[in-house]
Amino acid sequence: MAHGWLSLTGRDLGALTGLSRAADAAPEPIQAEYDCIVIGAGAGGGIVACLMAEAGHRTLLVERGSHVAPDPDGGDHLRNQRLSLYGVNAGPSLAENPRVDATGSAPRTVLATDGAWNNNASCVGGGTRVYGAQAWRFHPKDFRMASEYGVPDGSSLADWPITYGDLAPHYERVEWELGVAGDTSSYGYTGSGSRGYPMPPFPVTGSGVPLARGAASLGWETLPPPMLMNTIPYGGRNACIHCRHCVGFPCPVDAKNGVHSTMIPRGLATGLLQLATGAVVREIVTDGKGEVTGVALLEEAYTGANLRSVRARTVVVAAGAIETARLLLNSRSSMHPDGLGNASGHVGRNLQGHYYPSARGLMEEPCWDGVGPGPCIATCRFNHGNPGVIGGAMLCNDFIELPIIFWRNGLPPDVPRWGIENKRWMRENYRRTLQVTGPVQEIPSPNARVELDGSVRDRWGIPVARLSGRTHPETVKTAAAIWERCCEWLRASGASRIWGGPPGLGLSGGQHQAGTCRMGRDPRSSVTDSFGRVHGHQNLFIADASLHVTNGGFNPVLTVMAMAFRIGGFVAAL
Amino acid sequence: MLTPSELSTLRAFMDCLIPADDWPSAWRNGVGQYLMRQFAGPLRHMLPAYRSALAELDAESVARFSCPFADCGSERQLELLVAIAAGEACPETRNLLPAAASHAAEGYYADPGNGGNPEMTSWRMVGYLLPGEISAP
Repeated sequence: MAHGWLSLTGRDLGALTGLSRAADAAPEPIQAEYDCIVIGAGAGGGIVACLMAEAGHRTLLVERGSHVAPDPDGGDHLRNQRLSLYGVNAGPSLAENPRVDATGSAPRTVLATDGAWNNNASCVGGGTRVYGAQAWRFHPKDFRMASEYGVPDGSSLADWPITYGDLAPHYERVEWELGVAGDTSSYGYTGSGSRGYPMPPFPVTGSGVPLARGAASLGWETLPPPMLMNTIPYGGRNACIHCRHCVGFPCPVDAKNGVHSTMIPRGLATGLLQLATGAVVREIVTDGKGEVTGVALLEEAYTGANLRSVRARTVVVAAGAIETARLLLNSRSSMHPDGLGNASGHVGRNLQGHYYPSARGLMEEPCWDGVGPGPCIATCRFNHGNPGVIGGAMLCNDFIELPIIFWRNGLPPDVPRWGIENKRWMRENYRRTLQVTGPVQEIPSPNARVELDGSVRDRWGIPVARLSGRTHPETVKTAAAIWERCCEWLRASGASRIWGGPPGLGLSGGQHQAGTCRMGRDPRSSVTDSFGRVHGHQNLFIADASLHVTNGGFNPVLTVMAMAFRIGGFVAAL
Repeated sequence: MLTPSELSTLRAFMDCLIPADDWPSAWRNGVGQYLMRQFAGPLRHMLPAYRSALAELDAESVARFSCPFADCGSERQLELLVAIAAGEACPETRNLLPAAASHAAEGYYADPGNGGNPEMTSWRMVGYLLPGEISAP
């Protein structure tokens, strides 16, 4: 049946995407030795691998997932990165990769369709394959949270070992080399000296109009959220067609700038980078002196062979905050009985993501015009300086919500879940509902952590991640305060009724997972130095959000990428 | 998978969860096809709970109205479901109700690739699909 509504744009989607061609090619055999092995082809690993290859190093980029091609029909609304009821669209394979959720009284084995698994995509491009692509720089104060606010009892709040200024040139590289659309004219805290963005911002859509009016009446300054998406053709890729399957799905026209479409192809073009998909690193291998010599790799899904060791002068781990910690903990030897980099017991601690208080408001008139991707107006007024709480959040309207997600998450509490009243509500109000939300900076807790489970193993026999603990109560307090600001914005924008509520105390990781191998100056309280080099190891680096000391009150991907540029440049020059 | 009698009870049950107005009911918008596909796949484990609930619905309907659930008319069907939701009858159906409402919505509002919502009717109903956005069949 020809129900491919995206094809109404009149564009040949198959010709525009081209990703399946790479997946069809016969894999190149994995060699016995490389200059560098990078584990994980996501935001951090994709960038480091490219920079290493461009600097002349023979590099192997290992990815346990595979290539993900866009669905010309738009996608599966029940199996995607935003609603994983019966499966996921960007990995991992479900039954092969369990985790243990130990946040409740009885630990339970969970699959990636369970929220407690804390899924991020596992594929070429990692989360950037399906992300919403908001491209925020962290605020200068986000790097010095302990100095700004003090350290709450029981928390592990700390300053970063680098400043905003150390990262600023790398932020700029991401913005120009991958491509960000935005407007720096109102970018209060980083505007001066900034080169600006290479592409104009996304337009203000129907939902942005009342929100702009509301913000103006409150005296709040706003700006369009910067996006790692093409508003005009850029980097040889297409402009966004404003479809409604954006966050949670691969872009059907290749207008979303993830590492799969930018840095990895750039690295492959050097001829020095090899990408191995379907390959699982079991452990990082060390010699009798405890020094890293390579990895033990399961390439069964890659070429049909089995466990083998691959040597390298340098190993970079970028598997995401949960899997990076798991891999280090699984890399045990007599010299490192508790895992690599874990002499002080910090690997896996301080797991954090973002709390997302969200409020919805009902407008008199429809404000939904179907123009994707959706977020078009934001304020950074509440990232800091909120009385009585620590930190804060950027606030903006959200991505276009699929109807089934609206049914599950968008209805006011007093609307019945079935019957004619439920249907009437869906009919009349899907296009009249505004949503304001924002990523609250979590106050880290050392007890929110990734450990190895003693009994549950994955399909390859490797002990799985066991997630336990909760964020710090201060996070809940900040989230409640930020939720009030969401409501205030909606009220000022003309919402006749408002619903939703701030989240309660729990553990968060998911797509914004961070913090499990934090960087710092003191090996007694951190896992790596300020260049991601694991303390005590000259040739072992980490290059993902595991390093984040705190996770900012913003979507973190631009910071992951900027850090990868900084670390990749440093490692390539060694 | 389901007997014809169970199927007609299921149809009436689903059409109570999403009734017809000037847009189609659950069953008319493909929820039956969605459920059959799910019962052969990820919702296989739910089939016994559905079977029990369907039997319970019929028994209660016969007791109250001397008529199987599928045949007793939409007003009586709704009356019975309201009583069930209030905890006054059919405990197994009551337990199933939140999941069943979700399954009905999944079939009704998700993409046609999942078996329900042919022609993306519900997307036009809520306004997710803009006028003229379906290509010719």
